[in-house]
Amino acid sequence: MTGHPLDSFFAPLAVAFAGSVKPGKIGFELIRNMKEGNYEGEIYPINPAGGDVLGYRVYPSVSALPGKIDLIVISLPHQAILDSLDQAGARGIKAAVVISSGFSEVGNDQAEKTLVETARRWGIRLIGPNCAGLMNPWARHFPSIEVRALPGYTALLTQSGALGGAALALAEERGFGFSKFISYGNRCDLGDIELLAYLADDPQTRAIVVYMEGVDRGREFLRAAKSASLRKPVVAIKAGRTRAGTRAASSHTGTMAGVDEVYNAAFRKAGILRVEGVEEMFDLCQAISHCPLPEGNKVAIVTNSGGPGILAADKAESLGLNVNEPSPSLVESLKPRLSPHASLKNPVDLTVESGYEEYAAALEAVLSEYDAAIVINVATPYLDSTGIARGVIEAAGRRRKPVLTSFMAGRIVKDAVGLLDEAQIVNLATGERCAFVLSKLTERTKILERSPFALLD
Amino acid sequence: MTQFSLALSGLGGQGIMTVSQILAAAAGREGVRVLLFEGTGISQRGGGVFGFVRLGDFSNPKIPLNGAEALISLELSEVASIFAFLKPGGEVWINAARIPGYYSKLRPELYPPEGKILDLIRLKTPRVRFIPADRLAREAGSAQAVNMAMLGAFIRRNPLFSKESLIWAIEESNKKFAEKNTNAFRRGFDFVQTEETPE
Repeated sequence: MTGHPLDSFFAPLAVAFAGSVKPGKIGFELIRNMKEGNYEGEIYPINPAGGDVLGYRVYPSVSALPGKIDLIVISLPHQAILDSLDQAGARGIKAAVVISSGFSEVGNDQAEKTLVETARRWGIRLIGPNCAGLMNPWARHFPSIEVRALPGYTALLTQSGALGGAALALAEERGFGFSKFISYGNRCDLGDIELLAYLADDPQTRAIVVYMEGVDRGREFLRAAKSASLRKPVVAIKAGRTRAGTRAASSHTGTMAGVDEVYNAAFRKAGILRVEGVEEMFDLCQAISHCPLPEGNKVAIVTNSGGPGILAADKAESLGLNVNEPSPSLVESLKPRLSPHASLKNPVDLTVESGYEEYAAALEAVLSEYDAAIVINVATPYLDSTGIARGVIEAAGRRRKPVLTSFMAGRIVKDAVGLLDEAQIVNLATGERCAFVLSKLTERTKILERSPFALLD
Repeated sequence: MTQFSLALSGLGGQGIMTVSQILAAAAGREGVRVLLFEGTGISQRGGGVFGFVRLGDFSNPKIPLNGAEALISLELSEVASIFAFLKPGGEVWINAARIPGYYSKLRPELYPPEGKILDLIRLKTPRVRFIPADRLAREAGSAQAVNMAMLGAFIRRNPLFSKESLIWAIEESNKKFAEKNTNAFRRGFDFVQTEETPE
């Protein structure tokens, strides 16, 4: 532990759960998630009914708990929450997650105000209410009702618990891991601002993703985002772009979703990378976790098939990347090493018969001139795509430049993709998706390079 | 020794390159690998100058963005030119003096107030230290030796090399001004000794 006041939330040694212990109820599910996640600290269920749940003794009240408790997770009905917070405060507990809903999101502002006042009186910091909890997969700490995340390097900070949950479920399918997951719900005390600052200094977090429907303390949020984005990439999924989305957002977590263009401008100023949705976010964060940043925007596309290469080139150029042709000297150096039918433009089309040697030679050569490369391989069953993957891995390993691949498709490239994964080379379904990711990595470089005074107003 | 990357900035003529070369000489004396990189632009007309010093096992003399353990700026606003290289949480050493350079002579209204510069740095690190290096250099008998005073101050908190090696390197770099330069170095060194860590 680094001694940060919020560490009690993310790396507690003992956690109490105040809520129902009946199977199917939220309180029970939280405990089950902790147990199945192999949490190594102490788990203390609290319910007046007593007895046992999932092998843990149930205590009748917070006051009855033994030993020191770092965190309490509350999923009680309204009327019981304040009492349990008071007991927690008296026990010296300083961190509470309130899962229960029915507060400001449904217009019950008074109840939320009382909740915050009670917590303040005891010096308790709160996450929630109306949230899905949090996770620290590296500590096997899963006080959340969502699918347990794998350990990884991306932190997900979400206003909507369910979207966070859906993202976690999709991530699991992709084998994508998280450093932290926090659903902050109504952010009555700790919200995106405080948590951004925490994650900016969290050593396991390489990228911070924020899913937001609206901002409530705009200036503070931007300052926190600026500061965080100087340390690591901050990626935002901002919902409520359209009028329909805005309407839905305001009745979802009760925040005003502002004009989209205002958000775009603010995000640019704060150095936030905006993505449209969860898939784009995964693509980008996977690359952030494993790729170096490009120094410029010149991208080479190396392919063995025309069509996918052209699509990638179109997408790259439309996103502001430079897909210029190679210099005459690069063309000369490529010629003797590639098939006589190869097209030495950009995309460099190696033609279908190319294998290990051609890919390795072409990639190595283009990386001497370009800032990044997209390597496309449309596999044919009679050629060995694992050899091509090896060639790409070797050539990419010789330089600290981003190389993204798209090995197509499915079963015939499964082994090749396995090798790329092992070598931490990001492989995406299409060259266009690679181009999108590169455009965002280039944006990230520009954010770090821009005049520091652009950060101030 | 572990790796250490230092970025320096200032105005043409302030002696950024000299500081880099002195650090390199001290590194040579102590058997530490060193790489230097310099950017001089229109320095002769008072434009910005920056330099990188990388100690340890590096193959690239250019410090990556967010890659420098510390920054030294010989002029208040020039810290902006190397800010992108500062590692989050790293140290920033600034000569507190405002010296109008080429651009700020053309457009003095663009020179940022000190508060803004501090605000900017705090986005990335709380560890910033202003040194009255102009005054220390004058007290040492040479208004030119601002760079030496800053080097002394920095070295007090970051003992990359022994004081002896650095004084030797300072003397070797310029025999004529050796005494004034080493005096300024010592003033900077002692100035920090009596104060708190930059935090």
